[in-house]
Amino acid sequence: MSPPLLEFRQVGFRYPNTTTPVLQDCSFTLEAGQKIALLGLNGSGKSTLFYLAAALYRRDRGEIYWQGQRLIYQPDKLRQWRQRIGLAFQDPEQQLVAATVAEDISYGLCNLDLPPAEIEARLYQTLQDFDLLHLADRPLHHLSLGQKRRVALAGVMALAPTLLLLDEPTTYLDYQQRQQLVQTLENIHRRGTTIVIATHDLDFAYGWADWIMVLVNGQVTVSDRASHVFEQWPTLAPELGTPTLLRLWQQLPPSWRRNQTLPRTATALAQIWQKGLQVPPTLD
Amino acid sequence: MHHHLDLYAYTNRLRSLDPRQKVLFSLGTLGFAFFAHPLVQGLLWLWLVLWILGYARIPWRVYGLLVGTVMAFWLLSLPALVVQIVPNRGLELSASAPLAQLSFGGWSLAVSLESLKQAFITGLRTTVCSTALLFLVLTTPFPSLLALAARWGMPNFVLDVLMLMYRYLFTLLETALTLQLAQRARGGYQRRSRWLFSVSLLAAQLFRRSLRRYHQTNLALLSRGFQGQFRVFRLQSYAYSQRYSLEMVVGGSALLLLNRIVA
Repeated sequence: MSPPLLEFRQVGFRYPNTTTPVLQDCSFTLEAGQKIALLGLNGSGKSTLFYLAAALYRRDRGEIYWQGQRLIYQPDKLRQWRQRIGLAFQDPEQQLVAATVAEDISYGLCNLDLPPAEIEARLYQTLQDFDLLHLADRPLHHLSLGQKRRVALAGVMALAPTLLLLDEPTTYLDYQQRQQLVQTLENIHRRGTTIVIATHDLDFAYGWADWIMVLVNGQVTVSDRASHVFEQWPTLAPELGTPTLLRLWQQLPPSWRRNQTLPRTATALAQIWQKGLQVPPTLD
Repeated sequence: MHHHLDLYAYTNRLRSLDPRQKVLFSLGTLGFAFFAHPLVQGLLWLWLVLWILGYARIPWRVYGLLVGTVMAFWLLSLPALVVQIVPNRGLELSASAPLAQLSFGGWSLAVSLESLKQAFITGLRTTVCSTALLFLVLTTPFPSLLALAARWGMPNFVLDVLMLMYRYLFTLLETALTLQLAQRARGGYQRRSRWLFSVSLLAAQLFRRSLRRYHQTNLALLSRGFQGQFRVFRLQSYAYSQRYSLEMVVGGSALLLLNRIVA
């Protein structure tokens, strides 16, 4: 059996000059090829966990492993580590560092010391993949938030990471931008990248993820298949609320729900509803 | 205004013209304006205006506002340029008689034809020089200028600083405007006493946010493999134009010749 893609073993972390640790004995494993939602309330340590996973912060205690290899905090090892794990920040404004779209996407590629021809080829490919060719020489401060988020994601994906960490990617996005993001994530996942999204948007996580992790007080308290987690949802993490579709599903008569799998989309729920309406509910 | 100014650099009709041509033209006309005869300076100004309003299609209001701002400084310094404070005795000894004079005690405030001419020449030169620089600012995006500076051997650390400044200047302005709007929405700046308090709060917030942004930028650079030097790949989307080069050379030569004749 191959080792997990990423593993945290009893990791602890505390910010300097603070008394309370953000992460405490935090342990979990991530398997390759999954779509993972990391759920937790604001301040539960989701972003810090990402910074530790991307080796931007140094853990105080415990160990972090990549495919069985321990994270060693040496410059060349860190460079390799950060190339494997791409991180998209919550606020794209904080992530975009160059002047124009093309320059920003090329920034990470130039840091890999690739030949100019390869940088140019990968830059064009990324611009094309993220539908940014028409914005290539546009300055970043002329872009909308949705476009900035796309550029930030393109800049990370240009490095072809194996694991992509996204911190609250749906914040401030309108419906259309959200749909675009979901489509982009599907494309990225289809190419073999494992994706972890930190979010407190339960509806998004419910429809998108196939694996759920819940972070409470600096510890991963739940890590399981999404279908399994949501079947027992209200008891597992009541403080996070309940996804709208799941709440609707729970309101259906038990006879309608019997022998049905948990509907993950509105369409699936509607089909169960229609089917149920054809058969009058029985008293259970 | 800062957004508009930057926007024209990306959307004008000379956007795709080789920045080398634009830089050489701008710096050439700027240098020429320093020593040219006022008549030639006037013609040079008209020529530059043709490039800005005619060729680049920058709206005249934008150009007018920018050059007007520069001229406002000239107007503010006009009294110092035109009015002379001289002792009465010195005035009697001077070769040209003043056009207007106001005496009190042993001193006079005087306006002479010579000082008016000097103020006019200064104003004209200011207009032409600022127009030469505005031509560059309004037609060439800053990153293109940085790319050119890199090709011409400007040290990398200077380019890195300039690029980060350019990137974060707009972010800082946007943050400041948003904060100010939030303050106004809650009654800030309404009274004089609150005005000062609101400004101090704004400055403190901007400082705090700048520090936070600095930290986040560090993380962002590290996460994308920063190795001590800010390197990016620059797409070249401009073209050298023979027609514009010809006009620059012919027009410049004609003005130089005229300057020799009239000077």
